[in-house]
Amino acid sequence: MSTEPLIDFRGVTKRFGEHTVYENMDLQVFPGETLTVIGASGGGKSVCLKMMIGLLFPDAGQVLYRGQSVPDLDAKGLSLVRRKVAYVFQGGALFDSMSVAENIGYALREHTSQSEEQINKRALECLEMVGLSRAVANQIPASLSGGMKKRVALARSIAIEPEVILYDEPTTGLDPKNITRIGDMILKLQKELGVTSVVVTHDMPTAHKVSDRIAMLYECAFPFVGPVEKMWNSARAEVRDFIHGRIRRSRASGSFAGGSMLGLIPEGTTDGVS
Amino acid sequence: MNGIQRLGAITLSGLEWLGGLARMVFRVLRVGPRRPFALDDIAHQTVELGVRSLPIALLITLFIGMILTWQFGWGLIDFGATMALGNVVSLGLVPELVPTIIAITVGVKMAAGMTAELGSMKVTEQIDAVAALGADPIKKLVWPRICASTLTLPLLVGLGNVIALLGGMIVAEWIYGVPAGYFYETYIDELEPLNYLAAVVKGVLFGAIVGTIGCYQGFNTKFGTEAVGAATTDTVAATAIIIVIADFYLNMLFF
Repeated sequence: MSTEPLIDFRGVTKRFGEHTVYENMDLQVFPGETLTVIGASGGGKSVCLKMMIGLLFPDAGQVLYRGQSVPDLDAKGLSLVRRKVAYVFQGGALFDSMSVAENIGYALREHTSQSEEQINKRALECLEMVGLSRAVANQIPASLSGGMKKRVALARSIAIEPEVILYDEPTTGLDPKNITRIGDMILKLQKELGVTSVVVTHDMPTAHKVSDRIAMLYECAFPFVGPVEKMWNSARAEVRDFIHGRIRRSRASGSFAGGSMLGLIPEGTTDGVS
Repeated sequence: MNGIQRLGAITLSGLEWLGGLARMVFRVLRVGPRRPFALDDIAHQTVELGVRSLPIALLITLFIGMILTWQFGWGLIDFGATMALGNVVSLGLVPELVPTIIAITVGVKMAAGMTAELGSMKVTEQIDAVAALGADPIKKLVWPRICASTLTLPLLVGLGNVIALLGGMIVAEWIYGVPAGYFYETYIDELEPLNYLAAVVKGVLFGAIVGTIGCYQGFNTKFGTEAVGAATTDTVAATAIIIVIADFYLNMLFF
């Protein structure tokens, strides 16, 4: 793994009104790896992804892509970054008014001078890569199932051959078979295309299956980042409880805390996961 | 919160809304008139908005023409002046009622449609997806819609004026016995270039208002489907109010 991070968060703070999502947060994504971001629902994992491609900007700190500050890029620079970094949205975010093929070819129409024939050919190739038949190409997104929508979204993201793919909750709302399929797809794309992947999820089996490293969002930062097996066998109660889905009664508040664990965990020692 | 605080809060939120609207207009003017001009998107939106609005625009203006002629005829008949029907009706219809009524009905419908469509795109992250795929949502989604509504509304006003004239001719002939040809001649004679100019300028300006508010509200829809409904309702109210206020100031300017 290269020592130069592809994406680098340095001391990032992000607030929405009174609510602080990140406070002095650091995180690095290295070329070729699959980093999975885990953490409680509503904790700000998607915010982290959106800051990577300038859909949201930090209030303080730096977000760097290949050493360039993403918030400081002009429209052209931002467009170039977005050409290299693809985003797979949680609900697919397919364009309702377009067919599946038009959705997949959108970035190619936007960024290249390829003919319609070439774009359609590429759309069909991408559909095959995500395991969908060519017959789907002319359908509209509303006629697809949840799992198919996610795969079309995946096909749309790879059409322009990005070097990074950001997956926002790729398995949420899917049946076990489709969860397995999406996990396999992430591994396959990484192997075949050599892309760097950042996966936001709270689906632990998928996280275990696809990740090289796991970063756990906890109290507005990523205090626990490490290789997947190290995180899986972590001695830290915060990490262990989240990964294994344990709910404990907070001694301080007397309330149950499972997802966020805020107010639950007393300060402890690190287990070597940095 | 006492009355003064509430008034202050409403004023501030109104100013904030107008500021947001102005910021969006500025962004549209900055990114819109640059290559590629998105002529295909503009043409598509123009056809969508125009064709969809045509039946309602024709129906409304036909009845507006008939109603106004009926009402004026009712007043003029007492003075034995029904032959002046064309002169009076034309001044009410061409620069004023046809543009304003079309803007408040068809225009507001267009704005509400834009808010609902863009608001739905916002809550399903489709607007973010446009940006994530390296396109500018203002250029791809707002610019074509504002151009289309700014082009379409004056065209509908022009067509609406013809239909309103026909409605007036029907009522003048059948109800008041004023020959349709004579009604037409007096109708046209009364109109000065300024009246036509006012109709065109109002059509263009109201079209721009419709597109801007419709898109702004859509882009600023909060979360969830309920928010889409709320944003659309607000669009209807805001567009109608701003059109009426703009109409008043345009009348001050022209007449």
